[in-house]
Amino acid sequence: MTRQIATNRVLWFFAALAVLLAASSVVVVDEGEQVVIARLGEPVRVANRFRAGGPSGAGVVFKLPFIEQAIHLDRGLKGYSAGNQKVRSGDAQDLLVDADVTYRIIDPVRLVNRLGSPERLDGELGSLVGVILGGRLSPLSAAEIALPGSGGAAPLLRADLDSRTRALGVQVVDFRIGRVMPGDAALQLAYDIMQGRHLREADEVAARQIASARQTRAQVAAETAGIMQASAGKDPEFYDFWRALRSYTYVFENPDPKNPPSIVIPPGSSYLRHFNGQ
Amino acid sequence: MDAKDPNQRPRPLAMARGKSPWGDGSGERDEDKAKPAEAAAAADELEPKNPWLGQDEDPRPRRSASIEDILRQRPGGAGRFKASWISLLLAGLVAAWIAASSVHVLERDERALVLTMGRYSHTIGPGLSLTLPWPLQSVIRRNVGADQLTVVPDKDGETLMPTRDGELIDLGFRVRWRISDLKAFAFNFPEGEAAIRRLADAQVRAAVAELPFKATYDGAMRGQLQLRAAQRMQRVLDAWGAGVTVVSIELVRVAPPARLTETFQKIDKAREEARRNRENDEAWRQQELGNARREAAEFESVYAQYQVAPAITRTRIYYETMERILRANPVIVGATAPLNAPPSSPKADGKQP
Repeated sequence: MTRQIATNRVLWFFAALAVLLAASSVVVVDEGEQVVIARLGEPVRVANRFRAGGPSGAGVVFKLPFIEQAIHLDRGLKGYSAGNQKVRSGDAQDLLVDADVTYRIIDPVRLVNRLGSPERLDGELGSLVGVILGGRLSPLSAAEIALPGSGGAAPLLRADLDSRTRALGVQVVDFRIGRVMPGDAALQLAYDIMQGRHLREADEVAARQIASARQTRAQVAAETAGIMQASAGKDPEFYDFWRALRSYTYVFENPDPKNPPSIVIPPGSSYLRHFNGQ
Repeated sequence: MDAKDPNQRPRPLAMARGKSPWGDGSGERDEDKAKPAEAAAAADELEPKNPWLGQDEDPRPRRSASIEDILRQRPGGAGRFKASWISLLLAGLVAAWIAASSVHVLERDERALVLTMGRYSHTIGPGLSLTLPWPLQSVIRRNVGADQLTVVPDKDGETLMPTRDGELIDLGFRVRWRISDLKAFAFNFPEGEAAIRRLADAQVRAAVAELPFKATYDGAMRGQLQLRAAQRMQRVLDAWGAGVTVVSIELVRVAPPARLTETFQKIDKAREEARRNRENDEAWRQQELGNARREAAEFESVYAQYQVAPAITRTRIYYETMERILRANPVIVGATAPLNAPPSSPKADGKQP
């Protein structure tokens, strides 16, 4: 009885060992990753290495158990953003610039040799971006930096960074200036300028309105004069007579009933000429 | 009892029994072995429990592993019932896991990439599909038919962008995009939406920097701005082989900087007032012109009569007017000045016909 249990234990031990060995010698390489197999830290081969248009090497690969390690790296495009980089532009403005880098690991062995692990790549990129930005952007004005392609600097920035990252086995696919904001002092100035401009705009709107009202008045005067000239101009003398009568009617026809004006007609008036029998 | 017993007993893996190749906790166990059993038992209370072992297990029978000890430890009948119950549960779990990881029901717009041990094998479409269970095959499932919306910025608050004339504008927008090539998107563009968000932000900022503040703020160039940013973004994504189609970029918030709200309210107020004044001026103009036309028409009609009979018309309209006026007002005849005129209406004096 006791011996049988012991035998069972030994069997279990070997079974477990076998499973462990198997697990340690099989690497599942995903389609989206490249895997460096390193023997005691020394890279010996790469599974599913990126080649543009090349075949996929994903799937199961084997390695020696325990003495070989698998280091998993991305195969696709990766992004790195360097935020709030201080840059002084050609027109002496202090700017805060965000740079977006898109890159791909094209030589995983080199990356592992140089950095050991892919986690350190971001730090490397960060320090390189800081160095390169200052050099390329300093001849440009702040407005140019913000333009698409950063006034022609974007391809140069990419090439600069790429030439330095190749040693790390990294290809820089894209280098793009994202946010470009004036620094604190320049920002305050920008606000002040903007406020001045738009307050002027408000004044202009009011002034334009006054001018347009004046114009309307002059236009109406001219138009009414034209209308009257067309009709009354035929006989100004008769118009004078007719217009006077119209004016009397307008003023006296509907008096204020509580306080009507008293009209005094002198006996010699022409209205009473026949009344007086003359 | 029978030899099958240790197999059925739910217990930690064999390798946890002092031979762990991972080394975790092995130091502790080596120490245990060196000590006499009593010391080990005492140490057990002070030291943290071995994480590989069940909590209820007493370390002593492990070391002096005799079958009597094991048998004594648990009542036989109940143990067997428990063991079969647990194996049933395990079997159930395994079945559920196989079902969950090998049966896939995709919606109308969905596609899924099937990976066999990490390697792309084929793409499955809508409906029911079967794959091998999980560690053998896995799927990456994505919606490829419907547009995805990415709102930029992803948090509240101002997003100020400098314009060509050195002013600042607060913009919020959204990108409508679609996966056009799922394989490329999944394997070559692992950052997906995060990368799209960054690129869209950069492109919109660049497009804003090309235009003066007014063009973006007043909306005159907004359509062009959106179109330009979207087209350039598409070009970059195509060059990257991202497998993404940009459907559109839409500005959803265009505002002046919050710090200048008051200034812009002044402009709005001035505009509003100007509009109201313009409206009033127009009404006044119509009224003036109407009056002039009416007077002219009236004159024309009287003048037509006058041309036929000048003297008679003149006399007639004079007397008609006098009648209308004098009948409407108190009339005093005979004095050269108003005798009883109320002192309160001196203005009537000058209007004698």
